[in-house]
Amino acid sequence: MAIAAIRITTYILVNLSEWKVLNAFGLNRITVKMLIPLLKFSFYFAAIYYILAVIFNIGSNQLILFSGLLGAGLGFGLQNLFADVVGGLLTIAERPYQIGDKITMAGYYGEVKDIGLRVTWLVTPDDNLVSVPNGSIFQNPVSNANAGNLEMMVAIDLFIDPSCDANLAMNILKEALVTSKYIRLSEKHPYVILMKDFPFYKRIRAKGYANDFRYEFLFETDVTRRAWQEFMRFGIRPPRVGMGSEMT
Amino acid sequence: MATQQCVLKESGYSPELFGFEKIFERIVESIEKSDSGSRANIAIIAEPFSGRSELLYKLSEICLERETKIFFSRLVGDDNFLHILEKSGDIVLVDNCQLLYSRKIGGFEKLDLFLNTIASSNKLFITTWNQFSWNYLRTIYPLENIFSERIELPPLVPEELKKMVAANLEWKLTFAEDAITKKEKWLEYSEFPVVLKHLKKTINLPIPKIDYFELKSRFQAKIGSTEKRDEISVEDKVFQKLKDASEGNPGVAKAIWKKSVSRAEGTIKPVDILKPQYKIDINYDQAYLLYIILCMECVSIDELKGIDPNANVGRSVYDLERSGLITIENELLSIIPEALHSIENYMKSIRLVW
Repeated sequence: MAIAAIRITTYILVNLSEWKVLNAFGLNRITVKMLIPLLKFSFYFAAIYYILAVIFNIGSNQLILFSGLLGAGLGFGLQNLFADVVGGLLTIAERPYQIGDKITMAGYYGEVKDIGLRVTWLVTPDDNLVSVPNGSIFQNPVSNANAGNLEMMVAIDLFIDPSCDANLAMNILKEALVTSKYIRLSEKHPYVILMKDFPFYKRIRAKGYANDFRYEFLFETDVTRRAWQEFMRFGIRPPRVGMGSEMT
Repeated sequence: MATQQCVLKESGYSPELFGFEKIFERIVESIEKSDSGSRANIAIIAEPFSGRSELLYKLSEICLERETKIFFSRLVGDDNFLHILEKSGDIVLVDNCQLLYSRKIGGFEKLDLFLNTIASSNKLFITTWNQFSWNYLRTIYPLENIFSERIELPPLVPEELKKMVAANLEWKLTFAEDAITKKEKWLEYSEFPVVLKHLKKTINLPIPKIDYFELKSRFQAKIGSTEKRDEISVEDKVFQKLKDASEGNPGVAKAIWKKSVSRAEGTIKPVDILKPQYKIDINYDQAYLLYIILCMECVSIDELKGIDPNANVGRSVYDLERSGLITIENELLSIIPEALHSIENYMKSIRLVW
């Protein structure tokens, strides 16, 4: 019953989150989706409470006995499961990430598809569904790229030959960035162009916000492609392969 | 830039101003202040069809007696524009400054030069800008520093719309109440299609829409306001409806009025005022092209191809035109006035406009 209720609620909220009309109420898909794990956990705990208190009518003595059994279970190898459930609860309470965020967790990068009682489901850029145990938040840091916002900072690196005009390259990359159809520009969402000199190449880095993190890679591709087209037109070349070995 | 044909009527064109009297006075004051040495360049910012150009024309009339140079849309698009600019008088009026840039690599050259000219000049520049272009450009250029006086055109109130319509009426129009049996609803439902992907079905969900004017009238009637619903003339009701439908945009109001009157056959009732509703169902590439048209207001297909060379511009333009969102005249694309606010809301929903 609880599982059915969770599935139905999740289905409704996921579909609801894609409505463009939400925007009129100052909401976006992430604000709707963040309700899913909260409701899910509420359903689970309501079900557990119902089973223990109403069906089995467990009193305080039985509860102590049950706690003892649980303690033994934890000692015999359920501690991972317990850590995962606690990790799930902490995720709901502290919200280091939410459904819809782009995160790196336990070495995996992707969009959070679902936060379950035990695992968090990520969809990687290659469309793989990865289940990461919630307990991993105790051992590994979680990096969140958008933290509940739809906009997402994207860093785009282009490497050019050190003999090329870096100022011109920076200017071209700036224009490629600000004219991208995927960029979000506002006071809260500025952009920056940086340059760093390495021994055998120069790195030109553009940082800007994609207007929706779903366009992260399209944004990067769009800027890179158009910038390189212009670089070629102005004779800005990529670093020469094997240049390092020639010099030694 | 292919904007040579984006011209308003220039010779002998003397538009009347409806509702911008205070703004007009404010600009005249700024001109006078500029004479006394405190120069503040002016940017008039507004959405399309809001009467920016008309305001500038009106200003040009008082500036004509002085050594003034006026650049209307056609000249702004001209490659010689900056050359002429250097030789102009002490007041320079420039209309549709959004035509000075193109959203592509290398598309900011003319705008760069224009802003540099302003920064190093002692002349007073009075300029008009498309609101969406301004919002975009101000994140790239310090426009607020260059144009220290910024004027956003407010929406017209029903009384101003009434004057505007009356000035353009070609025949006598009578106003009539809606049929008595049909009491207007303050709450209406429109259908919103929701695609259920797994079930491969589309269901229409009712979305409530509140008629604030009707609701306000009923509320006032209940609390015994002096301005009861029945005391509001039918003419006022018609223009309040026109204001609601057009959001006070004069160009949109004109277009809605024209369509509404053509249905009304000489007698117009509040119910005859059309409420434009567009269901926009386009992909992101098409939406981006539509956004460019919204920002530029008048753009050629070739220019769109230059801005987004990978998009299938021809087919997208065909789809946009078929959806009734844009119009093509002399190979130049512009937004259909009635669709303006639907497009704006759609752009906000897909985060192209903020």
